[in-house]
Amino acid sequence: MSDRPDPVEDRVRTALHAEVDAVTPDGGSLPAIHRRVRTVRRRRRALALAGTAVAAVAAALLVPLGRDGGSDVSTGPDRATTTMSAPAPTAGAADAAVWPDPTAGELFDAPEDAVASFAAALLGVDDPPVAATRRLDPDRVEVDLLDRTESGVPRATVASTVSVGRLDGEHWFVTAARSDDVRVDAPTPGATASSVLRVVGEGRGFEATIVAALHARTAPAPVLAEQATTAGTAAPAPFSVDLAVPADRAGVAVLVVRDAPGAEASVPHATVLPVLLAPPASPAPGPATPSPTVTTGRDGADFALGAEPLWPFRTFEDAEAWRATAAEGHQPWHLDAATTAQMFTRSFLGFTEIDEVTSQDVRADEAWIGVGSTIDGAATPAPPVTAAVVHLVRFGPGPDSPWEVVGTRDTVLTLDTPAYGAAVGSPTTVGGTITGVDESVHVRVLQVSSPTPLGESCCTPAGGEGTPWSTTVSWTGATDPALTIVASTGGHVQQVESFAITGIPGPG
Amino acid sequence: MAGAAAHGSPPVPLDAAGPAPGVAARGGDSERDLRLEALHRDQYVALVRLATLVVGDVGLAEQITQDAFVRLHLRWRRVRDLDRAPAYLRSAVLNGARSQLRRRSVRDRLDARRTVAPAPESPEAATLGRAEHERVVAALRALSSRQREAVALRFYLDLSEDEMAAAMGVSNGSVKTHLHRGLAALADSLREEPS
Repeated sequence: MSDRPDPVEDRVRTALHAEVDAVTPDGGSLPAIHRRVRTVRRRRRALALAGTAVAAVAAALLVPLGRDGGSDVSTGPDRATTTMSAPAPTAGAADAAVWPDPTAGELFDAPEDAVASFAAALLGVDDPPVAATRRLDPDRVEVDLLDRTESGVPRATVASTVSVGRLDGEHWFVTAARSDDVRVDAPTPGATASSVLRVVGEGRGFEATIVAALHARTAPAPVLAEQATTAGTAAPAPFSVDLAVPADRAGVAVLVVRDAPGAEASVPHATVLPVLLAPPASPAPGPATPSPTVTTGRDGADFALGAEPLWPFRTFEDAEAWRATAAEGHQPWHLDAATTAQMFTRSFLGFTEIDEVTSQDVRADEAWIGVGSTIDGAATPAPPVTAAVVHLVRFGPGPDSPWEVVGTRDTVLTLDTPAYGAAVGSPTTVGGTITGVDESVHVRVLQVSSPTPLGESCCTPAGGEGTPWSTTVSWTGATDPALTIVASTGGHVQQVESFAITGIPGPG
Repeated sequence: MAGAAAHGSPPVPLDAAGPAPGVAARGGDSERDLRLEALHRDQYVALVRLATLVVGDVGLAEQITQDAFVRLHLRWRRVRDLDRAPAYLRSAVLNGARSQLRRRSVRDRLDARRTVAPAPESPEAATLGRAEHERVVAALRALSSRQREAVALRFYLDLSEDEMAAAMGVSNGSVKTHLHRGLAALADSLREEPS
């Protein structure tokens, strides 16, 4: 063996420069880029000015990826099998996507592209052999990933079948994968995972090993938790494994249950499904704490919230009913202001792209939680952008009382009319101020007990520096003690970039 | 050899159409335009060349690079740390290149049902003898896309491991793996050919 450095690196460096240093791009690239930017912006303005016509388009594009839809848009059957009870909402169609994350990163125009990206990110396989795409209907296809030999030659046998859907009517998302060799009975797709996710099923694999892993849905799909267990080899055998859900994660994650690789080139036999993470508050209620039996107010039922109870509880009695079961570990996230704010934003408001806590100011009985998201496509970790600061208060007199969302602290987008707590009826004028360019304000009226908006108005063009905006919204079907009016704007980087809410009393 | 100086395009406002009627533009537009022009001047050529190494097609590389700049323009007001813009562009270019390669790969498989490796070099090429760099580049083309990205980022752009990881959207460990395997494959290929 020689100690001389391998000359390959120098040869490669020299060759690469020789290959492309002579490449001279078109000198008109900058004007071309400007032209394309102007075209995109003109289209956006045209959409914003199209008024009600755009509302229908926006509903068609946005609703399939959001929880809340217009009443005239079907989001399909509820898939979520969650451990939450009312008033926690069901998961939306955005939660059906396994890959890519509909709210961030690269989207795919072709199902084969989505499958290739999915295989690379979640199965660790670059360019797996695939069979022809099977089209189930215009918006659903299946793609078989084929086995291959140790040397990489494709076999005719199917390793895993990947389901792909056009969830937003435009882009393709992997929604699941399944394998005859790895069956998962629990959790079901869309189930909620709290502190521990128990994975139960039947399978077989190399050396009887099955691996269950929980991945983040955002690229590059890092592993959040992973456990190996034993099952069958020649014949499937039952398995059960527990995954610890990270306390700092919320939202959709991806469960991958697969056989252990028998060779480097092997294609996993895997079953893949989405799960919803709702980690418990920290610290969790101590198990030794005597379980309270009260179902009404501890100091009488006259606790005054001093604000409109917007979410998740409609009344103090509802909050006390939860508190009575809290010691049993039921929905412990109610004691965590940040998780409550996140779930309010993503689940109740349906702003699934807003998936990060950007600031926290938590005091004994009041909290302000910034929620936002990181710039889509940023190559290096960038500070997340705050979409709103959610205001919460304890719905009860003690530290074991749950958090209740009562409003937002607004800056870029404000919602001043109607005034907070004003008794107004439908229709009413909704307005505020906005700072931004090419903005389009979408207003909805919501209540806890309704899965769809009671009314909405879209899309009011707006923009400038603290410039007033105003629209009129009508609603029907209000029954709760309080109604949430939410105004949102976006479309530059993601569908919702900023929002503000106000609360008005309802008839309940 | 054309360098960055070849791109002395006259300054053009980022959004020459201006804001929508009745909408006041936010402050800092002219500074933003200057920064974008500077970015284009400093980065465009290198990014086109990087994309060319990855996709092997200059026209496609230009399209991918322009896509990345358009996306940056449209997101500009959300980019708070301007120093990260070059890293964003590199990542966007590689994402675009990867997407194009996947599309091409899938199309090849489905349309031609090709199950063999790309055609070997023509007899006359071997007889005439190719230039050294052509042999290396031919070997580069045979790498997986991730390995090719890693090799191009390290040996063409001279990026650090951290910068490569950011551009590729993977961990530093994955960068090492892709680079190591890519170099090993290149070394194997080059050993098999007459130098």
